[in-house]
Amino acid sequence: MEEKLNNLVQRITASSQPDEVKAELFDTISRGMHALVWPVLLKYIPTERLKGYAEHPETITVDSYIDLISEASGVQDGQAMKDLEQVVNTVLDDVGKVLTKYHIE
Amino acid sequence: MGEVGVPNQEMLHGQEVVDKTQRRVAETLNEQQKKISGEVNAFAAWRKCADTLTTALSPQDKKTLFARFSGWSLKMAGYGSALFAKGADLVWNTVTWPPRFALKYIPGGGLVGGLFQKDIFTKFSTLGAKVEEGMFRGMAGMRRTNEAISPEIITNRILRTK
Repeated sequence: MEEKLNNLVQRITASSQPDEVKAELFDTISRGMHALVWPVLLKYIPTERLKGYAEHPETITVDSYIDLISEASGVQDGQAMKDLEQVVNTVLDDVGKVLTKYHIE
Repeated sequence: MGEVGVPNQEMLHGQEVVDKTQRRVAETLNEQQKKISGEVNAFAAWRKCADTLTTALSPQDKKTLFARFSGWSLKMAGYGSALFAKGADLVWNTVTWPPRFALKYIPGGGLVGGLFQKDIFTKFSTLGAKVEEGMFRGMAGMRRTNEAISPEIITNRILRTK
């Protein structure tokens, strides 16, 4: 993922596109990657426990919140992280294809 | 001399790249959101939990939370917290993607990125708004500052081309 991202950033930075366009592209990539995390992570959050906390918010603590997210991201040998990396890589590949189409090499 | 009010070809070309890039990202985001379409209530529940925390945390709790999430952000793909400091308050945020990548590679993030290499996360809550401004400016390509990135903002922005 890091390599793909680095490649995209280098291509955009080196392109002759106006700074506003470069900024918009960076912004799109950054926000897209951020936005993709929770849809992936939510698939792994212990739903019943989460609903329990939501129904009784007075019971949630820092530790319980951390445990909730930690379990979601760590269960099944970190499958959530593997999923996330795959999804993010897909987006980066897609962005790369668009750049290639417009000769941003 | 070009006509007044008519964008030049390069600008048109650039906007087309941006539009197509946004569309591709939005398509992937849509696909992922469809997969959790049955989990909408879970998302709302999670937001409620997080909102509860943002208003209930003590200063010590905040330090604990940042310290715990810092380890996440610094490992592998990182997914980080969802909470960032803004002055004395916590701002609810969906920034769950590794700040070190954004700050390292996105223009404007250089300074803060460098600080992150020194594990700024553990010091994040005390640096407050100044750090946050730099971070968001970096992630937004130096165009926006002090903008908390809520799920709605992200979704609306990414999906605006749909």
